[in-house]
Amino acid sequence: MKNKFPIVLYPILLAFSLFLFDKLFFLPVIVENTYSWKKIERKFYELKEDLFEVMLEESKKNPGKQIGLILGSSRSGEFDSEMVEEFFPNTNSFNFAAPFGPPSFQAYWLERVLATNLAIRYVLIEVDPLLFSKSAIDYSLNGSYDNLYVLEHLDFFRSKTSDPWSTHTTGFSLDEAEVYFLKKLFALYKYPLDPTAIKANNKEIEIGFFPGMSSGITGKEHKRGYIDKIKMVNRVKFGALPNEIKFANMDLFLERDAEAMYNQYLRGSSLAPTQIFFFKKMLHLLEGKGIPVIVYFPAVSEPLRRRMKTDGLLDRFNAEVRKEVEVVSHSPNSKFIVIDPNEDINWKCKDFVDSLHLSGACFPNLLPILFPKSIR
Amino acid sequence: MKFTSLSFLLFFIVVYALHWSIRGKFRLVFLFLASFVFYAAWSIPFAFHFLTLVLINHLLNKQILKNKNSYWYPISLFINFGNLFLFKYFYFLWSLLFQITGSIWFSNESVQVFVNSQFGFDSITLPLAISFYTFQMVAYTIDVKRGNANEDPSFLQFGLFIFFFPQLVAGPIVRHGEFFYQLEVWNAKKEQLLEGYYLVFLGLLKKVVIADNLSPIIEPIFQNPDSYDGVSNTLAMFGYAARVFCDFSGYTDLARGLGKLLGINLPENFHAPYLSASVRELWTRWHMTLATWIKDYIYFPLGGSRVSEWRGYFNLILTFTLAGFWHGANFTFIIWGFLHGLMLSIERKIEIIRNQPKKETVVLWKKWIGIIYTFLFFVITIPFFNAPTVKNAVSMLWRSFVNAPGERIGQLEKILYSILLTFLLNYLQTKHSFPRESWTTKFSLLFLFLFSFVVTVLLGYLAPGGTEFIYFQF
Repeated sequence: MKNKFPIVLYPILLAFSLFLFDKLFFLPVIVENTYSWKKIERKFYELKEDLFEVMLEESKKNPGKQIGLILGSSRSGEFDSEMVEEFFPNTNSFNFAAPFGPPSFQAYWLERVLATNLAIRYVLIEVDPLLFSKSAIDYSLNGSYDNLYVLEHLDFFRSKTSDPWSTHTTGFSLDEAEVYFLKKLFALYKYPLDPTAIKANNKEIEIGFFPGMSSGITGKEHKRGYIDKIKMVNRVKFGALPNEIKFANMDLFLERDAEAMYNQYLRGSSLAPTQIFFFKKMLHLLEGKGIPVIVYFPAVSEPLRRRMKTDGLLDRFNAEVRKEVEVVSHSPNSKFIVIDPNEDINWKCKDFVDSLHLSGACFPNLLPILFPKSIR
Repeated sequence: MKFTSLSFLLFFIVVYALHWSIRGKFRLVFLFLASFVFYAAWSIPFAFHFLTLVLINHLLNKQILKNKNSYWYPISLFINFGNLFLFKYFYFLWSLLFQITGSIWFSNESVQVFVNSQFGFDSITLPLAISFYTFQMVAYTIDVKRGNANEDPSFLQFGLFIFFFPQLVAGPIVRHGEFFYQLEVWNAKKEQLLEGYYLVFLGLLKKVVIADNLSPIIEPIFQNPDSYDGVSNTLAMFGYAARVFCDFSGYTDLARGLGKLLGINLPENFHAPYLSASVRELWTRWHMTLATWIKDYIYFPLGGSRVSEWRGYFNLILTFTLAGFWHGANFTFIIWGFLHGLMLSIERKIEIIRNQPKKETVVLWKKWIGIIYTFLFFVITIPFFNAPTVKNAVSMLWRSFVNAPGERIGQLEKILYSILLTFLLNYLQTKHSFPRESWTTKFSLLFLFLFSFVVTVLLGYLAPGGTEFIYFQF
């Protein structure tokens, strides 16, 4: 008798073949062709794992040195260990800041670092409404957490309330977790087949201001080199990227940029309960540990600050952050401080490259404000 | 649980595997429970509320089947329509009374205080799929009363008929005659399974790749038409025509595909509606299960066309106005339904005046003019279907008509491409589905693999993040 294939398995067979075929698109040799060389942000997230390894090696090499932890966005990404050592001597500062790094990503690394039981000298946490916006989590959902971490912090039944500060949550929303796992499971979702990216990755990139002047290397070769640079920076600067941009942009540009930032991330949308949850979680993780914790509002251009003040968003945000910090400060053996350079009379150098990023030339003025004597 | 979500994919894989592993009566039990879990994933309290309604309907139907003149019949209708009214139309009526009387009793705040003090909620939540399940249960009850439904199903059979998760949320509205017989011989058929696989991916293509990408471009215009120029307002209406077809037809494809994968054929809801040559034809091709429902349970009981000419027009307009109101408790939907009823009446009047016998073949140019006229009429009524207020709808039409100045939306080319794709998809609905019967199994599998791969590539490249299906709100 002829052995017949069970027909109910046909759809399973098709779906499984598709699933397996999709995995080919996870191969690094394919990814460097399909994923645009210009999109570098994810690498900053992914290479924090490398930085974590460097941190463990470094603490083995120099057990006498304490660890400083910098958590935040690209605005904190430039603070390097040497700069901060002036304020916290005998400390290696590891910079876990990433582009648009939201509190969920900050909390993840804080938890992992705390689990190593290494001596921590201080923790710097950057917070502002942009990092608490709903899209701030987007980069980190490309696989920057452990699966278990996402599952442990999955908020199955999130209640819908109009006020994100009073929403009861237990972590990632179901939609966020879905995006995370979809990107883990499906290569074509994480690295979409973009014909323009494939073309650009294999084309020699142009340099300078003159069209047609080729650098002699393709987009993907350039990206490879850049990734090597980040790895090197992890070892030399402990994750900090030197700020080489030292100029002030025109007011008109800053106005437009502020408008674009506000429209893209904040207009008409409330803050993400997920990020509020992880911010509070960080405070609770550090409560009673005796570690100096600096929660700071990053310096932003005046046009953006003005826009963020629309409908009282910024004032409410700052007040809520201060309230949460105040609550944990009362616990014994807790050292929390909230710093807002925007309100500090000592902040004089206000040259902005764009509405978010302060010129590197202003850092000597900014750093003493962020690390006051009272917390050291 | 959205059909386009990972959690639904995992849920369906488990359901599919267990469903075909279980035999006999247990399959019915399992699928009923799976459908209940599917609804409960949205809300557990409402899942039990729904279950109670299904149980009550089942018991009352039994009584009506025994005695067609039973007083349980009006009670059953009262319960079903009362439930629909309470959850869907209560606020509408209350605000209407407030506008008429100005009494504080009917203000929103009074309702909120009352609901909060009595039940601890801020407002009455609209249960998922309430319009669809109400219509399905009412249709069955009426058919039992009329003597058209003599299946006498068990509670599980009736429960699955209403709860069956692929069609539960937004239809198609299934009739008993299309469902119960399939439970008798419930075997997997190769063609059915392969077509189901195809329809699932086709539905994803329509919904995620086309409809979801249009939403962020056109929705701001419906919300704030006065900020945009005439061209943007016009294109938003055309864009919505593409969006609503791809969204709802995509959902129906998904529902039908999932149904087929579980061995149940669900009725088609769309058959190339945008290629209709008249509004009358449009309503035989657009949301077909709703159109036949309103015809059988509203239009015919009113007398249909077997009454005086003017009463016939009245019946048409009333039927379609009620169909509009079914979509939502808003004057916009009432106007939308009224306009369709009015146009159907005008078409009938023209037919009577011309008094020409129906021809078998229609001249091509007349057919094309008919298609253009029907599509344009459909587009012109769209502001009343999607704008949040009548004011916005009128403003959209006015600004389009006078080509008012204002902001011009970007990505106009996306709207144009989507409209072209929408017409192509409409054309494909006039052809046989895939895989074709004449194909070998190997060729069918190869075709399905390649088709699903292309759709997956497009989903990865073009998926904008996802919006809810339009018809979920109804």
